[in-house]
Amino acid sequence: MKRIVAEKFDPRFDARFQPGFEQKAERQAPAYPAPERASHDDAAHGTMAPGELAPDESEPVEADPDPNPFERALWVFAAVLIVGGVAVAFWANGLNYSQSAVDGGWTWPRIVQSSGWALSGPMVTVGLATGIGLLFRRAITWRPPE
Amino acid sequence: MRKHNPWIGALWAIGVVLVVGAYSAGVWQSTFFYPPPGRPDPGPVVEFFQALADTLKGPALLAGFSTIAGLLFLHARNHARRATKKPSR
Repeated sequence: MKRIVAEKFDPRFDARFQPGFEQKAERQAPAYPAPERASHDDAAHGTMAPGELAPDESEPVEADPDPNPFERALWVFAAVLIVGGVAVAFWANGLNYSQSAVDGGWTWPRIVQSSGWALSGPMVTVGLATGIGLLFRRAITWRPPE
Repeated sequence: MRKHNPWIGALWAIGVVLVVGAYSAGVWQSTFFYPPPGRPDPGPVVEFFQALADTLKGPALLAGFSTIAGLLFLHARNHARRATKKPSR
């Protein structure tokens, strides 16, 4: 559908800005095809820059609480560290002291026992900190109900 | 009326409980190091809790104080945001 008088057409500008252009024709047939939207797979495989990924209008933004897999993994990580740290401490305390470090030197049971004592404190600390950090994340992203 | 963030309330409770609980557990547990003469054997259950308190008191104190410090940072940030939103005179 030719709607522009040929002799008045200025090739420097888009057809929409030429005299005689009708908006209706543009709505029915766009002058240019819509740029192909990059798929989420492209972003996942690193074949495109992260900024190129256009948001999908069909998905409502913040429609439901985001089931973030990393957040779930962090909850599991925190629980494993707390329970594991306490278990390691009890296990190390339960090992017997039949061999003296002075007489027998460093034997494997003593090395494992001291490793358990060394690990349990940081494990429980980091586990608690991870769980509390996740609660902070919830507190920061919380919005009052409408 | 401003709606209060329930997560911040929960974090305040966790922080205070961690600090007070860990300190109390440490005081209780330290009585086992210097038992008065004639004290009977506490039994396996009390010994279990004594070992549990020994394991948890340090991490719980660290996590509790860190939680309170983090909450104060969060309140400071929210206060600064509210202050910038108010129109200046």
